[in-house]
Parts: sequence; C-alpha cells; structure tokens
Amino acid sequence: MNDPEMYSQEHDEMDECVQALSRVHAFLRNELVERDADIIRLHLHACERCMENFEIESTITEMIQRSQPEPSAPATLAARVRAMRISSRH
Amino acid sequence: MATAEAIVARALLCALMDSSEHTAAPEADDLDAAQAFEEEALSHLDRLYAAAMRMTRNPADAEDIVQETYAKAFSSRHTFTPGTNLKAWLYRILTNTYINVYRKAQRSPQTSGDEEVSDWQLARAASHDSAGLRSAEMEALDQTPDGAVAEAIAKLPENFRMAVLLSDIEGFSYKEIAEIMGTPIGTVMSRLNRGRAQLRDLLADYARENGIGRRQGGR
Repeated sequence: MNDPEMYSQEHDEMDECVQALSRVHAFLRNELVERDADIIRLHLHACERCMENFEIESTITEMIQRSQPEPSAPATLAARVRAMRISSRH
Repeated sequence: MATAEAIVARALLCALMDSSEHTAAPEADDLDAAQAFEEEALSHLDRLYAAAMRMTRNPADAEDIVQETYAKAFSSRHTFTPGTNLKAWLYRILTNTYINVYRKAQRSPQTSGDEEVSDWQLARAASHDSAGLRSAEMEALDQTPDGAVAEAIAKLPENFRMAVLLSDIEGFSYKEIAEIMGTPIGTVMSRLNRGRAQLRDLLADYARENGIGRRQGGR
C-alpha cells in the first residue's frame, strides 16, 4: 500500500483520475471554483500519469494557437464596413 | 457682432460638417451614442475577420460574413445593452451569420455529435489511454507542423470546432461561448471536451503515421 507504483493502480485512485481528466479543460481554462481546482492540484501532485495528461492538453492548446494565423482585415473590407456606419449618414 | 450672413454661413457649415453640438439635444445624444458604438464595433474588425477566415477558410466568404455581421450590428444597435460585452455580441452575430448562410449552403446537415458518448466515457478512455499518445510521441508532439494541426482542427465536427476555436483561440469564457453559440454552458463544456478529445486522437494518428516521436525514441 505504501508502494506508490502499486497504489496508483488501486481502484479509488483510478476513479480520481477519471474525475481529474473529465475536468482537464475546465481546470486549464480557470473555469473551476477554487475548491474543485485544489482537489485537482492535489491529485496531480500524486499522479504522474494525470500530470502528464494535463501537460499534453496544455501543449495541444499552444499548438492550436500557433497553427491559426491572425490575418488583418483587407483595407477594402475595412472601407466598405466604415461606409455602412449609420452615424455617418446623418 | 455677427452679421446675418455669417450666422447663416456658420449654420450651413455646421450642417455640412455633421456637427452634433448644434442639433437638438436628444438627437445629439443618440448620434454620439451611435458613433461611439460603431467605433467600438469597428475596433474588433481584424479579430472578426480572422475568426471568419477560420470558420470559412476562404477570404471571399470571410469578407462577406464580416460585412453582413457589421450591417446587422449597425442596424440592430438598439438590441445591444450598453455596458455588456460587445465583442461577444459581435461574435454571436458572426457565428449565426456563418451558420445560417454558409453552413446551410455547403453541406448536408451534420449530426452534432453531442449525444454520442458521455464526457465520463471520454475521461475513462483517456485514463486508460491505450489508443492515445504515449510518452515518446507526446514529448515530440509539438514538432507537429502547424499545417497538420490546422488540418486536424478543420476535420472536427462543426460545433466542436467552433467551441475549440472560441475557447482556445479567441479566449472566451464558457459563459461567453454559451451566449455566442446560444447553448447552455453544459453543452459548451461537452463540445469542448469532445472536440479536444477528437483533436488529440487526430494528432496521435498524425504522429504515428509520420513517425513523430519515433526518431527521438532512444533518448
């Protein structure tokens, strides 16, 4: 029971993992209340596998952000949109 | 002493220059408010265009939905509550415009995928993670080219893709995404969880097929 390798395979522990992983996105986006976030932090300290999973998800978020270009609106579009302003017609 | 001509000339000039200070007070307030609203809306143009490009993946279509979004926004200013989130309000119009105009025309209706598996099942699968990525592949995951990541995102079902983009790219909160997509927060969380789970699988497939992580395997 004191062997961390063994303990990590215990049934209760696996339930904790499922709980943590079902909230990984809410946790990484700061959408959890502090109390729930603390439960996850505690689990991540104890569970290397979940920690790895959370790091993977965090990496994927960075990859998503890197993969999407941020083009500026073409000047012609900006001009057309400006011309649609209602306040400019008065 | 101003001459009559000077007064007339000045009034004419004011009218030509659209100066609000000489119009009646309520109208002037309204015009000021409209101007402020429109200027603030315009400050989001680049972000909206970039978001439209991600939705349509086509510059001409992106321009069209952005233009239509602004036309709707300007003409329905009275439905916007001042002091609330204008950016989210504009994204909601943009999203609806895209969904109504383009998605309908492009493809046969797609199943939303919302009801297929529970988030719980997803988490359980990830915790056992036999099919997913393992250490060596994971360590090298961020070597995946941007183009391959973009392609994987494009493969996600529409609702999942929108949730992922609104959260991970635009940085909206769950509550804001719920307003933009017109769904309960639970649905947003579920779409995001599933979209990200699918994306992870797609990236794992790419890594396997392209030997990402294998070269570093001996490290």
